[in-house]
Amino acid sequence: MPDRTPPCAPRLGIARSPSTARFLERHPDAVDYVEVPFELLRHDATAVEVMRAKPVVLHCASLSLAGTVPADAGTVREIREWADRTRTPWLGEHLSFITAEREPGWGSADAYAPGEPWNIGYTVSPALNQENVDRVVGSLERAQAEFEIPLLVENPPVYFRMPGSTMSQVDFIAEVCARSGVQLLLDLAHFYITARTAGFDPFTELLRLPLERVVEVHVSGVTTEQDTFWDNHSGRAPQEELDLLAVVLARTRVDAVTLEYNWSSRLPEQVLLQEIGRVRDVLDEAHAA
Amino acid sequence: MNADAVNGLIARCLLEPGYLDRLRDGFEVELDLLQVDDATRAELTALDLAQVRRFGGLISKVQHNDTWERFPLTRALLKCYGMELEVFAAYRNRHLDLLRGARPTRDAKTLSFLSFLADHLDGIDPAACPGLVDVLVHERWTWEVGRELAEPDRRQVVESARERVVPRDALRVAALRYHPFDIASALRDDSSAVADLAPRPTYLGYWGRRRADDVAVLELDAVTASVLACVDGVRSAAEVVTAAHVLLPEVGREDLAAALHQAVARDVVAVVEPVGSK
Repeated sequence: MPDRTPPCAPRLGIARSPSTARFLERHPDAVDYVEVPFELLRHDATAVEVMRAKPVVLHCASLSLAGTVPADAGTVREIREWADRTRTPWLGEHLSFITAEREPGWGSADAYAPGEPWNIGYTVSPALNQENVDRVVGSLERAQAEFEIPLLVENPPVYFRMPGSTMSQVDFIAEVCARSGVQLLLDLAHFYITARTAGFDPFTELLRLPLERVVEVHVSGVTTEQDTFWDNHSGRAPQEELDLLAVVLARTRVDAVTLEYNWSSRLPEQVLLQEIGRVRDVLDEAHAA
Repeated sequence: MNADAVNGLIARCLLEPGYLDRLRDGFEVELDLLQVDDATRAELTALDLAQVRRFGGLISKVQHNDTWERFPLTRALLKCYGMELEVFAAYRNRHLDLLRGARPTRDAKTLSFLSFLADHLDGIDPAACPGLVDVLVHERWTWEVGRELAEPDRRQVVESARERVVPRDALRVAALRYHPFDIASALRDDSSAVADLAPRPTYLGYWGRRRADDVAVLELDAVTASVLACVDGVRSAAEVVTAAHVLLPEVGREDLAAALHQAVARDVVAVVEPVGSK
């Protein structure tokens, strides 16, 4: 897996999908590693068989770092076991919350899990404010103590303004990084979506991020519906993302770039190859410069 | 600000059927029940509920990624007409109900979503989404017939004291305004041209053939389609002809009977004699 010895070019990987095994059989040299989500391994341990073909980078959406309800000890233990088993070089986790407290006295009609916290089953960007910076820094300190590998935090997509937000996402991330020392997994699709939602110029704001902390980059598709940009792991990345990638690579050395095209088993192989080619061109150009 | 209250409210909007609707219809009343401080209340008032609802749709859409391969044309048209999130936002409550029990299987998710979509499209002007109902029916019958083939126990022949016409293996019939094959071609060539596609009414039969272990899609004439559509496993041959005559009153009973006879000869359907008749 990626080491940090210069002048190594970033490794290129793909997120695991049902068609990954067949893709790797046919194109063994197309990528260097495969990203596998912990949540998939938890329910289908056979997904780890991709390790026979390529090294694995473990990804996670279960720690709820920005939430008020931490992941339970059993979940943390399982993540640690999978981290050991996959020999992942780091653990990428969303700077989001996935669970939330049920306020007493809210009169919830939901009787299926009385007393249990809400489990959204999907990551949600938190309110961007000082209180949550403090919360995330604390969560990171506790979470990092559980793992021997570094944690990376991934910028989430913002689809609506969270009540209580008082700062931009870039300021939020920068402060979390400065106070915790955590490194970054920069998802360029999420960053682009957030820029569109919040109305900022992604190229200007990108330069305010602590780019020197970026270890891994995600590239994937974006779709528009109802005048909003949405995450889409089954379509091509817009050119803006690749231009943003070039900006990142011109300013820092990242270890890995992962193409997340894992939402459709019907994504034509040719499209995936073309997307890999587009990203590899940017990597080669940056490495040559 | 109370972060617990904010996160809890967002989670509840995304997880509890009807809560988002109640907030939309009576935000002030619902906020009174929350007992939050003035600052939190002011922040919550500014929440974009429509966008939260769409985000719920995105979550449900992503959680159906493993089902798309069963109805690729339907998905492509939903996407083409910019309806994906709206449809999944509307489906969200039913999806959450499905999640209340054990982890739903792919089949359960597929069946639940396709049934919902058929009902949902009933309330939408077809001109807003040409061909969508047609590809939905086409892909749903193809999938259901294939599923019946894979589960032979579902098709046990029940003995009866009366003659009945039963489908041989598995069978569905559809009367479509747009031909699914035309839509598939248009999507392959230029998805933006789909909305301008000309209707081409057609009748299709979906015949699951156990011996061949496949689902054959048959182009049918109106008479054969009407007759096969009336084969429900309960009606007798005469009753099938009578029912088909209601659908196609301009066609004589003799012609309808001939179409049924031909379907029997082709082994698409069979006439089951009553118990004890031999």
